[in-house]
Amino acid sequence: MSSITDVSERKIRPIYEAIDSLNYKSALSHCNKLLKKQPNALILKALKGLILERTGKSDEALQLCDQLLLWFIGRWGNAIDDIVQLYENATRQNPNNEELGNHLFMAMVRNGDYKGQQQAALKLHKTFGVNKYLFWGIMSLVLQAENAPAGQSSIFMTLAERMMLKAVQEGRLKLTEEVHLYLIVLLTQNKTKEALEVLEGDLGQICKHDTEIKYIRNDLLLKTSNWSKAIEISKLSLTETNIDDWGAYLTYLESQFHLIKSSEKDENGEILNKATILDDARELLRSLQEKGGSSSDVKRGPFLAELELEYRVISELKDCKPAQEIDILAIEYFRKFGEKSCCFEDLQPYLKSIPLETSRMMVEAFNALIDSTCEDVKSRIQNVHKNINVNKLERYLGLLSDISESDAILYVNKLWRSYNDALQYGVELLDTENQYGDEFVILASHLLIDLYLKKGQNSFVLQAIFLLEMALWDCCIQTYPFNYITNRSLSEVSRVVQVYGYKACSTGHNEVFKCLRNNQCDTVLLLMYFFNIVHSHYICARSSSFAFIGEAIRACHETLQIYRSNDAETPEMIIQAFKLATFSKVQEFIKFRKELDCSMQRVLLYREIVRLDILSISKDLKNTMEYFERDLDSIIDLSHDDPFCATLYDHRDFTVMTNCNPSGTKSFEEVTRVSPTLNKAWLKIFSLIPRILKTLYANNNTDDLIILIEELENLITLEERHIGEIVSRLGRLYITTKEVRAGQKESRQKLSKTIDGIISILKDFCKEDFTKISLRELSWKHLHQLSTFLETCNYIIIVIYIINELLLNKNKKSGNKDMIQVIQTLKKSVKENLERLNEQLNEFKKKLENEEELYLDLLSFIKSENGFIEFCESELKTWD
Amino acid sequence: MARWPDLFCVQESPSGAMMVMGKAEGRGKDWHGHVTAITVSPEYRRLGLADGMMKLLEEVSEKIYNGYFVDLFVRKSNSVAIGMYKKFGYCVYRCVTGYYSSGDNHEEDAFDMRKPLSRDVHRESVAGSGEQNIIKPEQL
Repeated sequence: MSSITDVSERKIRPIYEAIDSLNYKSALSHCNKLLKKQPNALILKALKGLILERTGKSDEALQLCDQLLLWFIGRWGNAIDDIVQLYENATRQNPNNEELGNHLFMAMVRNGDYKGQQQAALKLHKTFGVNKYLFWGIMSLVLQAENAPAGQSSIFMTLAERMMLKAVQEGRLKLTEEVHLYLIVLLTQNKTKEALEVLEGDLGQICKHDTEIKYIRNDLLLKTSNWSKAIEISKLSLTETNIDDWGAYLTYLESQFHLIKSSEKDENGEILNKATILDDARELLRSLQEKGGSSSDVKRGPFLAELELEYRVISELKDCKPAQEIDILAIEYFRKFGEKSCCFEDLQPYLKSIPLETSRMMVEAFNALIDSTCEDVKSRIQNVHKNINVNKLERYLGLLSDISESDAILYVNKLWRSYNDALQYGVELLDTENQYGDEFVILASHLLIDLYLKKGQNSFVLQAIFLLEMALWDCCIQTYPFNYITNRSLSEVSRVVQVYGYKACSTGHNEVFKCLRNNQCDTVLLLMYFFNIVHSHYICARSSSFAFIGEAIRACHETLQIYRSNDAETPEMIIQAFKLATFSKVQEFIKFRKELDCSMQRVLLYREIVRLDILSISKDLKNTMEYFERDLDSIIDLSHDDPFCATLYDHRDFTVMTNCNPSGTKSFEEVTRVSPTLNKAWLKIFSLIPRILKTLYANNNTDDLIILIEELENLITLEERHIGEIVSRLGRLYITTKEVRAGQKESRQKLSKTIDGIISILKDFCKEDFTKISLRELSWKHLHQLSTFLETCNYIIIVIYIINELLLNKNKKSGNKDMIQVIQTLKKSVKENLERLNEQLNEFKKKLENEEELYLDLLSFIKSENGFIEFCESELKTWD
Repeated sequence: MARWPDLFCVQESPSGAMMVMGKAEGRGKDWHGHVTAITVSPEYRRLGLADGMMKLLEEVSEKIYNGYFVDLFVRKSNSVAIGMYKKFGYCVYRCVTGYYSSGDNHEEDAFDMRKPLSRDVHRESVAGSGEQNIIKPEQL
């Protein structure tokens, strides 16, 4: 038998390297080459299996691997069923082997087989009598209940609760996590009162120091309307433990306001006086403010709570007056915390509906609190933060909404000066830190985008990009991965989004961390992905070829890494949670696994890979046909129906981007979208296209698929809709060809009509004359139009090839020649279109040749249109 | 998180945005707590939030795990963090050479900092502390 070492290390190295650099195609071809010589080499099979698995072809990977290798792939793939089987047999033969029983249970956990888990756990408990196994069984029952069809979960829960009660009576609960499991059992059934009783009783003593349990208890007090008790406990927590515990403030205020609003008496029958309750609350906050202000760092909790209290009085209590108006409190808050970056975010919720006049007064008051005469560096840095907060608040309060163009330009200039002025204080900051004044530039770019949206003039966007990029360079961010100058020449809002997103990813560690919370890694990846894909369009357009698709494919595979890790690592976390009996985390890990597993972005990426794969191989039509032949199964698996889409989780969270737009208006992210975000319609269209092509190739019935694609409308770009229209007509063309061949004379006319239809859509598709576009106007839309047009031509050529095969290969009837000629007209039209485009692009390329000239032209464009003189002139000077 | 869920905590700002991710792990939980990582988002710095997170971790290490001390590793160059930990009552116990290494062969020493908890009445865990106690990573 072949062994693992029978291929020399030297030969295998290129495969490893290709895998490491995510270049799976080259890895696979290396592998195949060596396999031809040594078809039985285990190491090569294993590597090929790995490559197939990583490129999403798990089924092929499994077929390939020997039983021995199942383990290897099994951790990543779906071979888990076999492993369960293995352990089931083993435990049947050795019922007293505890370790094997454990393995069987864990294999079930990995598999998500909750019923199997329950049975395995209870069997273990019966045989070995260990408490842990009993709790495993109970946890498995909860999981079964969670996943049971509607109305059937109560059976599992009743059983789980009964087992738990018995365990309590037998004194089996000794650890916090076991009590936590008891809470889970009760709370899954909404038994809040009973859960609270557990925590107030003896079992509560076991976990009285646990932070999470404390929060659960506070929550339960609110849910069971135990207002007085909740007040007592939150008050104690604020005075004794943590003066900054926002959760405790909310519990406290929530309970007090319930008492005020609900009745004249509290739940113990004590008579209440609204005014006294409010005075008590205000008194507590005052004493906390005093206490928190005594240390060197003034705590903001009690001051923010004061805002919350008075805001609630205004919005919830009709017959009470606030002790202070919100604007006065906000000014006081700014006086104390204006130099903290979080000041803006802290104040935001309370300033939602302030009248413009009051807002103006407030901003004046904020500005008056900034002492611009101070000399020491520390105070000056504080002033930078204060100014940023004021500028953000000004925008948020709507004071910039109706600003005139000339005033806006002056404002932008002021922000840019403030940014440059602040640079001197950050000389010693690390590369990984933000510059103190970074947000001045972001605010300036927001204002420029406002101007662009009002006036529709590219110079504003260009200036925004210039400023953002300058700030990036000041930050010494790793060399910007694309050519500096041409980058500037190709721009539109999308570029702002990209540069902006890129900045958020590379400088704003805070932004990245925001994403990482709640498993939103997707968002960060999405930004990167977006960046790559749009750039692939950009590259396509410039070289009028698809030579850079490889880069895009690689970027997609790289982005998929997180899902592969999820497949491999998250089940292990669930297993760990069971092993260590951390029941409070089991459901969290399972949710995490499921949400990543059913991530919308993951499916979109797979579709994009198939799309790019077809485009990249379609240079050679024979290869394309081989691809359809070989990857038949994976293409047929391209799910897209509504029930499937409904199971997907969309993890995109654009709230991580700085947004100071007034409440009730569109966010900055929304106004800078160039096209509808990738969505279900996109998913459908790019699942259907490869399926239709594939079905045509296999000479199967495509009717139902064509109808599906014809139904799709809206929510995707016009160009993407064009692709759909053309592909559906291509499908019709194929069907008609078959009809004509079958002797249906009347279909011959239909044939010419379909072809005319396709030709006319093509004409509509690419109306733009690229020789007439100036670089000042060039935008993502042009590039998108161009790349989608080329993509469509590709599909037409593929289908023409398939039709020609059909006409040439089968028994030749006399009419075929005639039909080939009709099809030829379509081919001719595509060719003409492409030649025209090629000429235009060659012409256009000449404009791109002198980069220096381009840059200077754009600078003078901004200078003359936006009056951004200082910056442009200093830039122009450096080029002289 | 699966083993020491109570040593892992996140704080959120009132607006719901994340501001602190304190991750902690008890290494050899029967005798000491270990701070694996603590991080505060830039706009929420200089508010004394890390102080609260560290106190929480110390409390859990003491009351739940009954540990003798809490320790942590910090880059020698990270003077801001070292200053902060000293303020919280930590002292440099020893210096680990080349503890941090990145792909480009760049190495940096770490300070092993410790703070004794009330169980360690005689402060044995920090006896003989000092930056001059140098050890190699493999001796840890």
